[in-house]
Amino acid sequence: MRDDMGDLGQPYGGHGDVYRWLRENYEFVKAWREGRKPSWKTVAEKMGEKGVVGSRGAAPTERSIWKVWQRVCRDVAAEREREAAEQAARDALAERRRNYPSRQPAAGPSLVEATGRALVPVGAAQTAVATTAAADKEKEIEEKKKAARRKLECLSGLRPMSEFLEG
Amino acid sequence: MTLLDMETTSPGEDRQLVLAVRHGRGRTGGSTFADYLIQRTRREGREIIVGDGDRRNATLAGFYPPGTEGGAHQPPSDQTPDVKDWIGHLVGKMVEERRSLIFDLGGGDQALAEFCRELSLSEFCASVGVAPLSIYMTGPEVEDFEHIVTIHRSKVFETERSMLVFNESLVRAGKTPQGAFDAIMERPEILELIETGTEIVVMPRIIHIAEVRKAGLGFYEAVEGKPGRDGKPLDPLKRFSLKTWLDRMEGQLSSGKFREWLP
Repeated sequence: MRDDMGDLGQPYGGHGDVYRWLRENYEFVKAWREGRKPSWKTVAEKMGEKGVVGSRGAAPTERSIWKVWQRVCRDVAAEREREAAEQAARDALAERRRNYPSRQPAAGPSLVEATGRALVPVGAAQTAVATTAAADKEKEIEEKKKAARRKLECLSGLRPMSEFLEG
Repeated sequence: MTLLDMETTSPGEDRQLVLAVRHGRGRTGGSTFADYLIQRTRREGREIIVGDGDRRNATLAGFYPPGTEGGAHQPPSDQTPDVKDWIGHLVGKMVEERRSLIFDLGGGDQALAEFCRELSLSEFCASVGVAPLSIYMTGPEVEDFEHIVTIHRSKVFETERSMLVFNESLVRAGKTPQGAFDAIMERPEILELIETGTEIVVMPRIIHIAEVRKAGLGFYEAVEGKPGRDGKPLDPLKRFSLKTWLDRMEGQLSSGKFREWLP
């Protein structure tokens, strides 16, 4: 698996083969461990079959794989969090752009369809969006609270567990 | 081999060592929950060190006499420096002996806070591959919950794994659990806990706990009909009641995240 190309231009540059293999097979290893729970020995064997070696060229041990796996999980989580934040920022920007005054009809006592339901004056459009967003947030919080209460009631035996599992 | 190089999964299986700390006000059932967890862990063939830091109300040390096999460990006094030293000693023992550890600190929360200010216990756990677990206990009183929120927010013992245990035994006699925890569930902080990964557990009311304790039996022993101190097993109805309780606990803790989280 090792070659002389170094890490330039390769994904996960700066990391060893074990890290790279675990990153490339992250979903698989994760699902595998959550499902059948193989021992790290099995994972080591799998790596051995694929010719993955540790930083000193030796076959990775169960312990070393486990340690790298902790790092991979941390990095994947951070990466996903970063991506989600970037997406949220992009969405927010798009939302703001949709409501720029320049995007609203220029003449007359302008009316824009801000919520898709009601016609509101241009000056009120952004307020309406903000109000809708706040209402959505509140609704989301209420839904979450409701879900938590339902879970508690299911665990208390006051509702069938199936409701919790479905929820 | 240094301390940090040691393997921290239990022998024979791919299970991580756990450092569990129970938090909560006094009399919220923390020692009972901890006791259940200890019995469950040992019954499944895994070892766990018991740390009872509550010198004034040493419940676990009563169940697991210090000095006996599997007995609880206690600090020499309830003075913060002594408790801090003792915490450090048991954490070291956990890693060296590759056994999970459960702390019931009672009023020793303060010592843990000081210990963690000097050495980040969570970071230490991460460095040696031990999974820290916070166990928050609450009854229906909002004050129980507020105490937990304060501890959670202080990030004294920062853990990715935490469980909030609602103790139904604290619901006043004559009342049903229905709605008993509403005041807590209405609090916005409940979402704060859930969104930071806290899992909810309900500890059902244990009706015959006094008889089990009096007989000097463990939960499983009592259910299996082992004779108590008076030479007699618990009567069938009480055994059935206790078995129902154990089944409900097991139903919650043998699934989902808990399979990985618990010692």
